[in-house]
Amino acid sequence: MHDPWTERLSEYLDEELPAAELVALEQHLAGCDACRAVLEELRAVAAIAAGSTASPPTRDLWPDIARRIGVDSAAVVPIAGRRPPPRFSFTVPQLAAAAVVLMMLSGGGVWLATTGGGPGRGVATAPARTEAGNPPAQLAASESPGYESAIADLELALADRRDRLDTATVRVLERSLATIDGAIAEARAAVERDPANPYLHRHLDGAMKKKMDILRRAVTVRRAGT
Amino acid sequence: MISALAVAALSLGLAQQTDTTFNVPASGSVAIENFGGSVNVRAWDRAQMRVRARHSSRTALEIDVRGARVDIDVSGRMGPGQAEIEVTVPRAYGVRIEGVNTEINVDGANGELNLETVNGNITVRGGRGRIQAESIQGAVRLEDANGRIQVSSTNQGIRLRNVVGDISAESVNGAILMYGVDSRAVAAETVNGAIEFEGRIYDNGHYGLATHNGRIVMAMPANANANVSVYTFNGKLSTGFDVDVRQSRSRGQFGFTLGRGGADVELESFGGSIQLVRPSEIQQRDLNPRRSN
Repeated sequence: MHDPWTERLSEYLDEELPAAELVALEQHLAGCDACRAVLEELRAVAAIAAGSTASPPTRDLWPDIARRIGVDSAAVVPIAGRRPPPRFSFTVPQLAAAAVVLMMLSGGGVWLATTGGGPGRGVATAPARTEAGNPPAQLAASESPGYESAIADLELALADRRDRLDTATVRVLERSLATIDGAIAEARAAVERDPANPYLHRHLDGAMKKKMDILRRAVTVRRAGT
Repeated sequence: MISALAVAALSLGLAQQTDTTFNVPASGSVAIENFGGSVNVRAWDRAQMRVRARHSSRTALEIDVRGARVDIDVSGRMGPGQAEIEVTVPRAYGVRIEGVNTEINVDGANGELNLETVNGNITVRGGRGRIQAESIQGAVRLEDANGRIQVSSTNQGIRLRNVVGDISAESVNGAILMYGVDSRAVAAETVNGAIEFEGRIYDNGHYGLATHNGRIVMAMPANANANVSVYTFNGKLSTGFDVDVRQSRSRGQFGFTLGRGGADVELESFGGSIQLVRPSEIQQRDLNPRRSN
C-alpha cells in the first residue's frame, strides 16, 4: 500500500506543511519506520546539496573577450546575488535520481543547478544580467566538463530505463529532447559566430539546463505502482 | 485524533459502478492515484465527500478516510488499475492527483492543488495557495487560481487565465499563453512555442518570458512603469507604440524604459519575433493541440 505521507516529507523538511498536516505527519513519523528512514535520506541529500560549493566556471572568460572587443573589463558588474538561494525539494520517487544527480554534478554543473540557468521551479526570477548589455563577468556554466558529463550520465540512466516506459511516453520524451538538442546546436553555432554576445551564452546555458531538467524528469517519470 | 475508515470495493461484474458519500471535516485534503482513465474533481459547500467511479471487475477502488485526509487508490489485479472517477469535495479541500494515462479536471476546489499526469490534459478552475500541475504529454489549463503557481507541460501548451500570484510556467514543445494575470513574479520558458502575456505590471515586479523558437507577444498597459530588456538573435522587435529604444553593443539586444521605470521585464526569443502591444490589441486564444505556436 502506498504511504501518502512519504510524498509530503519534502514539504516537511522545507517547513512548508500547513500546521494541521505538520502535526499529523509528526504523529505518523512516530510510528512509521519507513517514513523515518526516507526522511533521513532526504535530509542527507539536502545536506549534500547545501554543502556543494557553488563553484564558478573553470575560468573567467571575460577579460580575454573584453580585450578583443576593446572594453574595459573592470567596468563589468558581477552578477552575484541576483538570484534567490536555491531550495532543494524532492518527491520520494525523485530521491534516488536527485542523489545521483547531485553526485554527478560537479564544478560548473553544480553552479548551474544551484544558481539556475533559467527560471527556477517554484520561484519566478528575473534572468541575471549586467548593465548596458555587458557580458556577465563569468560566462557559461555549459562550458564546464562536469555539466556535459552530468547530461551524459542522465542520458545513460534514461536509456537504462527506456524499456520500462510505455512507447508513447518514450516518443514524447525523445521528441522533446530532439527539440532541445536542436536549440542547443543553434545556440552553440550562434556563440561561435558571436562569442562576445552575453545573451547567447546565457541562452545556451538555459537550453542545456532545460535538457538536464527533461532528462531528470524522464528518469523519474512515474509508472503505476512504482 | 485520527480515526480510520476504509471502504474497499472489489467487484465481480464486467463493469462496476461505485457511488458512496461519507462525512468529512470541512477542510482537509484528498489524494487520488489512478493509472489511467480520468479523474474529475468538483467542489460543494457540504462537509461530505462523494466518490463515484466506473471501472472494470479487474480493478479495485480503495478509499481510506483518516480524519481530514482521504486517499483514493485505484489498483488492478494483474497490473495498474484504471477508472473513470468523479469526486465531489468540500470547497476548501486540497487536491492531489497522480496519474499516468489520465485526464485530470478540477473545478472549484479552493485548496492547494498538486496534479500530475504523464499522458493526459490537466484542466483546472480554482485553487488557492500552492498550485502545481504537470503533464508530460498533455495541455495544462488553469483559470481563476490564486497562489504560488507552477505549471509545466513538456510536449504541449499551457494556458493561464485570470490567475493571481507568482507564476512559473515551463514547456518544451508548446506555447505558453497567459491572460488576465495579476502577478509580481512571472517566469515563463519554452523551447519551441510562442509566449503571450497580458496582465498587470507591478512597479516592483519581475516578468521574464523566454523561448528559443517562437513569437513573444507582451501586452504593456499604457500606465506601466518598466525597464524592458529584449534579447533575440534571428528575430526582431516590433512595438505598437512609441518607445525610445537603446540598442546594445551586442546584436539583437535592446532596452527601453516605460514611464518611470520600475518593473523588470525581460523578453527573449532566439529565433522569433518580439512584439509589444497594448492590452486591447491582444486576442486571447486557446491552445491548439496540433501546433506548438
